[in-house]
Amino acid sequence: MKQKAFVIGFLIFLIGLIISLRLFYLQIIDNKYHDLSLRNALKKEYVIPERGYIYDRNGKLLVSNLQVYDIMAIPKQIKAFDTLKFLELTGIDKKKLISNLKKAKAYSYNKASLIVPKLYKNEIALFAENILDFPGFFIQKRSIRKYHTKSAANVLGFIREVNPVEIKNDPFYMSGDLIGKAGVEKAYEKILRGRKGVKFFLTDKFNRKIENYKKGAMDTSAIAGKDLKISIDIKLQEFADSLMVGKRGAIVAIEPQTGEILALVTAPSFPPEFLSGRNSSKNFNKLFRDKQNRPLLDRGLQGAYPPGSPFKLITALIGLQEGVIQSNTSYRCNHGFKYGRKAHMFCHCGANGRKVKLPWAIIKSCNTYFANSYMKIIDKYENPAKGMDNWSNRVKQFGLGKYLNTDLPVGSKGFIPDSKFYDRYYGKNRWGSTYTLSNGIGQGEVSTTPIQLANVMTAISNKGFYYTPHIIKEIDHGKIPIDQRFQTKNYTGIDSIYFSPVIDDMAKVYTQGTAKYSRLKNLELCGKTGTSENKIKIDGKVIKLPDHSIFVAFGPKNNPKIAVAVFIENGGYGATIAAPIASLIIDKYVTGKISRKDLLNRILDINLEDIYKMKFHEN
Amino acid sequence: MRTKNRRVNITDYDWVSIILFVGLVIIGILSIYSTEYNNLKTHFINNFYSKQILWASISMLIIIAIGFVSIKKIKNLSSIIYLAGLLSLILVLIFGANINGNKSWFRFGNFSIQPAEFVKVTTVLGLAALLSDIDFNINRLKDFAKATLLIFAPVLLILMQPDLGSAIVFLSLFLVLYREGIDLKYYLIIFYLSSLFILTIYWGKNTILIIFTLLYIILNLIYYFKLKKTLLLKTSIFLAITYLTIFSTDIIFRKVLKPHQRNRIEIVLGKKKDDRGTGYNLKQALIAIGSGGLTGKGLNMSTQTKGYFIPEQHTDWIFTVIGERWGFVGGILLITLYLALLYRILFLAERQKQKFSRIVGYGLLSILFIHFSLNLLMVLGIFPTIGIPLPFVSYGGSSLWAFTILLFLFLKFDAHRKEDW
Repeated sequence: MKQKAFVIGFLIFLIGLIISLRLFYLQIIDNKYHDLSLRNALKKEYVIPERGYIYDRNGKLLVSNLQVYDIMAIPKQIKAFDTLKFLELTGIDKKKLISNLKKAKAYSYNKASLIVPKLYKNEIALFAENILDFPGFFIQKRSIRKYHTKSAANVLGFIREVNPVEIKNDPFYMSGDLIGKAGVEKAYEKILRGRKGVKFFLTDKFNRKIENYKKGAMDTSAIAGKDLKISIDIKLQEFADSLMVGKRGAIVAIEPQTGEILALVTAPSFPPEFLSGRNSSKNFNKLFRDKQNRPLLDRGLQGAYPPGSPFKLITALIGLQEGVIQSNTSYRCNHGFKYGRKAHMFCHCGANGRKVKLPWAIIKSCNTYFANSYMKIIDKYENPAKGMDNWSNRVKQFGLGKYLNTDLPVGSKGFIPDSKFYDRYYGKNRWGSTYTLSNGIGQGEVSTTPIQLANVMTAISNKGFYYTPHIIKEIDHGKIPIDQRFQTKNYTGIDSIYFSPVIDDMAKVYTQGTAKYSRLKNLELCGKTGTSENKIKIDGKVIKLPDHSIFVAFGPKNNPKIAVAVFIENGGYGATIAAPIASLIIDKYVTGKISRKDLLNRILDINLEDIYKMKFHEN
Repeated sequence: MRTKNRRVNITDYDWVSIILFVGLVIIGILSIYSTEYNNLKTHFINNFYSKQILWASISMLIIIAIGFVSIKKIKNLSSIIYLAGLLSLILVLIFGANINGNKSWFRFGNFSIQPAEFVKVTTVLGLAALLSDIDFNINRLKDFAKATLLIFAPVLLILMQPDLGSAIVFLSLFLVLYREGIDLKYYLIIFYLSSLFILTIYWGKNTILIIFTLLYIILNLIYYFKLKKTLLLKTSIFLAITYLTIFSTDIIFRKVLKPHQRNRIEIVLGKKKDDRGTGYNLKQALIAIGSGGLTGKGLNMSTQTKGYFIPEQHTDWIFTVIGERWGFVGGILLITLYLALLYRILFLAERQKQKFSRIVGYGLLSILFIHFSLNLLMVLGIFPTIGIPLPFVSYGGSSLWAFTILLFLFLKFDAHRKEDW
């Protein structure tokens, strides 16, 4: 019988051993459980910092924050409530309430869902007083952007909730966080957003907080986002915006001494608060779907068009630098230029068979002169490919045909062709300067964006260099330096002596030339008109639409404070709309007032909507 | 042989067992306190740990009372006590309070009593009375049937509550029958059949059928060709039994067991992952124990316990507190105390001269052992989740009192072992 006791004793030992080994495995060998227990109990709570403010160059507040209030609900805790009273207090409609409650239940019974979004302080007050009548509901504060201007939506950009890709790419973000999606908000997101604070809590099974984890030793406090001062002059921006009513296009103004963008207007546009308030997503979709007006397109940065005559200034400067033309070089202009058996380029400079020199060519925008100059530039070398590449490189040194590398998140390269392009197009060694002649007068294959043209103006006004255009002026009140690239001169490769005659002639554009009617009494300006043709096909027939109206200018001549490019889609001849707008902008910026009310009224009266509508429907 | 009327001193009680008993009760109270320390009620007595202190105090009174009862009377009345136990099980089915669909409790106002716990005591006494009868021969089929009936009577009544956990506990009394003369081979057969049951569920009917059929063929071929002998008859009977078990297992598992019982078995066998439903308890229990590490997380950082992640932690899942708060060191300490108590009882039982008191000792050992094994195997995820508390440690008056009575009755018998009664 002792043997049986021994068997039982062995059985006890066996079970004891199994239990001990299992315990050893769970507690000593398998180490996944510690993390699992923290995953259960440790909850992080983020403290969202206040987003940085944005000021204009003169310190005027453009963007701040506004507290709004969301009504949230936890479906499980909701008891029957007075629906009518709820609707009355919050002002939402019954259908919306019912559908949101249904959505909340579908999402989670235990987690909070949004029921009424973004109520302002005065709108939430009544509900807040009566919140005890609605168990399961609570109010959550959140911050949205408040705008102090109706202009500059394209510059300021907007913020929206992060998408899953952004969350994956940057561990900073969690679902529901806000992120800058365009403009300055996007470009300077990391500065504006600040640093989130984290609080660690131990929670129980029901997600109720028990206490701070490790007495808060691991917590970090939130650091508010830094303020920005941008280079925009909001008064100028708003004024420029008002000039664009009824028109489509862009105005870009840059301070030549610094490269700071003073105004960046695209039309049509929308007030920035359009993408901030209660209907922001609805509004965004509306803007996104508007294919006729494309208000989300920043035409100043992204719109690449043939530059037209302003490009002739570059042809002149390169010609002078290359030594293929001199101040006394002249070409005979007889209503145009014959360069092949049937090829003819028209010219309306009015020389009527006389010989044309550079001043006349610029003042009257003589095609013949610049076509000849362009030919000489290309034909300077035996091989046109070499001449073409030399020309192309020189043009690109003006910031054309490549990204300007501004600090705004969108842009376009435009296009400056080179020999490779024509080799592909015509075949190697099967083209010459005459094939590409239109380039010399800013038509043909070249295309530029308005900001690139404005930048060319700064380069000319600085007699040979430009600073990369930028929107930032100061970060955190100057405590954080702005990018070095905005303080470095970019040289055009044209000696400064060649600029003086060109600048003199540009001034004469106002006194004797194509911009006579836009001249200002007290300011000596330099400018150049441009017209860029555009056609559409209707029923197979090519119909010529009114030309794009282009004007570039800077002033005052002797102490340039502002360089401007104005581009008006289908605005007609450059002198009719674009030139007066440029004058008004410069006048407004330099003198602070408008000396030519007649110009102003004329511009305000112009409405081109009918043309745009036609264009859209026929396309 | 000493004189009949020798006075029994308090020092004749086995102090090793008493110290182990007190140690376990104290660990229990500390653990129960841990489960609720984060949310202690303002009124002292409304807390589980304070109630457990009260139950433990009442246990002291019970122990003192046991000191005064006559062991002879108990021995003589044990058959009646057994029947009274059965009666209480019938009464609870009629008058018991219905809690979560179980009729296991008598309720008197705020106070509840679980008769099944006390029936463990009465059944042990009944079994001791039956087996210690001079005419009783366990290896006689009629007597074996009597013993089996005696054990199964409470099992059936408890299954009607239904309370599977408590019912299973009584099966441990077959360990007593082993000690009293049943051959080991029957237990091995039972073990073989239950292994078949588990493997059938684990691998599925077809796989295991193929395996055993192949084994049968190979075995016979080897025997025939190598040894020129035949095993055909024996192995065929064996195979038939195996087949029968496999098929009946399949039917029982799919048709007889309730879905939640099936779930629990499948979760423990690792066939199913269910962290939300039945598996939730176990998952949280493993997290609590596993995260305890070597020395435990301490009272303040025991997040699983503090956050109420383990339902019923103060009763059946009390070991999770120990594992989380005191770690492997604490867990091994508890296991050691328990094993020490079990071995001590085994030792004491074997030194009894009276068959009656030896059977009571083995009955106590069996029931304590099965509670300890199944509770820990369940909490550690080796055995399916069934409601079995850890005696002396888990919260609950009925359980504590019943085990106290059984333990101290046996210790009293042991103290009087040298007498002739």
